[in-house]
Amino acid sequence: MPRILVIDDDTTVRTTVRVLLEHAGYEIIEAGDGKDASRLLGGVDLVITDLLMPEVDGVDLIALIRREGHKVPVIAMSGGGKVDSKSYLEVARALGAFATIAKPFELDHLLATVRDALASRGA
Amino acid sequence: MRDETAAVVRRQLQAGIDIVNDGEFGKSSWANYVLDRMTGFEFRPDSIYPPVWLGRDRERFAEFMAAEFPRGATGLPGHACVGPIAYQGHDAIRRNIADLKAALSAAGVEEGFLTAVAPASTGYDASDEFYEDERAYVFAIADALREEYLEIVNAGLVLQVDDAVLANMYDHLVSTGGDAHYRRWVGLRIEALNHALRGIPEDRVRYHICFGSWHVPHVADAPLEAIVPLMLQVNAGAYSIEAANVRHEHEWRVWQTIKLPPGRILIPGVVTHHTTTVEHPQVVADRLLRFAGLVGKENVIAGTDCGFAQIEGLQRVHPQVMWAKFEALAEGARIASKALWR
Repeated sequence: MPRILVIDDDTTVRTTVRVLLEHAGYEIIEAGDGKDASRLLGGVDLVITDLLMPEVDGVDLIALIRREGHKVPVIAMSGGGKVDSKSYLEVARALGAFATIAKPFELDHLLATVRDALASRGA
Repeated sequence: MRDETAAVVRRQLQAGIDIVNDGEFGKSSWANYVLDRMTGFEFRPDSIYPPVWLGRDRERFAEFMAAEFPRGATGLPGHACVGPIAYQGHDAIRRNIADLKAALSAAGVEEGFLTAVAPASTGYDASDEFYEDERAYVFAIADALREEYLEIVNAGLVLQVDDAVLANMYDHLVSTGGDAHYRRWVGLRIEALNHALRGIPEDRVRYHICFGSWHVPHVADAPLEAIVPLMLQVNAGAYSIEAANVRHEHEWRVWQTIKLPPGRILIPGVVTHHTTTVEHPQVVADRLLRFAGLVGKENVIAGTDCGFAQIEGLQRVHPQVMWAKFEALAEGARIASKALWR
């Protein structure tokens, strides 16, 4: 069962994503910011991270993932009423995020992106 | 019954409601009515079923429950499934349909809806002693309910499937068996509901979930974000949710994360059965404007958190207050529509 690390400082978002993905058969672990997430990267198959967060934000986390040589694909999320999310998503993409998703997102879109990201590991 | 249905339809129209129903006058309750329309169930007067659907609020507020909601403290007798389940309520539902259609015709209204219970909420205080297989039991219920659903839709009415228990079971199942336990329980019942709805156009179906209409603290309620990903799997064109009470109003934020799928409609509660205080129309309008901003103005219908009387002889607010709330709902919707469609 693929293991997915979901990182967001908003528990509403984490719960939504967790329920959706657990129902689809994935194992989910959660973190509330990039600092906590950086300690949970071992053994995960996919990272889904918000970008605007306290402590270590999503952009710094993606940079850290790449700097430390983790091969795990990353899906970056942002938006949901927060300002300037588009430019953050562009930065995430430039840093090597597999995909970016603007909030609000359709649940089917997130599921499809997760499937694609997990499939990309063998590419 | 026909006269009373006609009167309640007229009263809804006078209050400014566009999409009316029969006041549920043709049923004894929102859910257990259906046990009288099915074979297979028998009442067990000597049994006591603990109301696990209250979750841990039963323990957390034990003194309150004993004082103000004794049923919540002790439970009540329920039903048992002791034989094959089959629908036998054709005469009853056809009478309900005929009464509502006659009322609609007399009032010159084209669209009305009838409520029917969902598989997850059927026999919520019942046990299975016949099938001894959860899937077979739940799908037998779904097959029976399908006959009622088809009667309603084939008569040209909108079907509202009521499913309070889907959300109500969250706290009990998660606290006793974990998230996976709840997901498995829900997954089976949503699969069964979609089985019962197969072939019915989604735009003829509304799906209502809530967190229980009883006047209790509701601390054990599920968070909406834990329910929405499951709710959206139901093949319905519209989703009716609580959004007008102090325990759930903040959950509009869920729609900052989740985009309503194309072609679907959200029916947020903008007046509530939880309090006697009548919502100011501007509060109603503000709530609607907020939802319109999140899911699109074409995709919002103003609704109530839940019904105002779920069981024969029980009412959550005085009828005079209920009608005032409906009038506030309609006035608030007019204010919001004027702002959105100018």
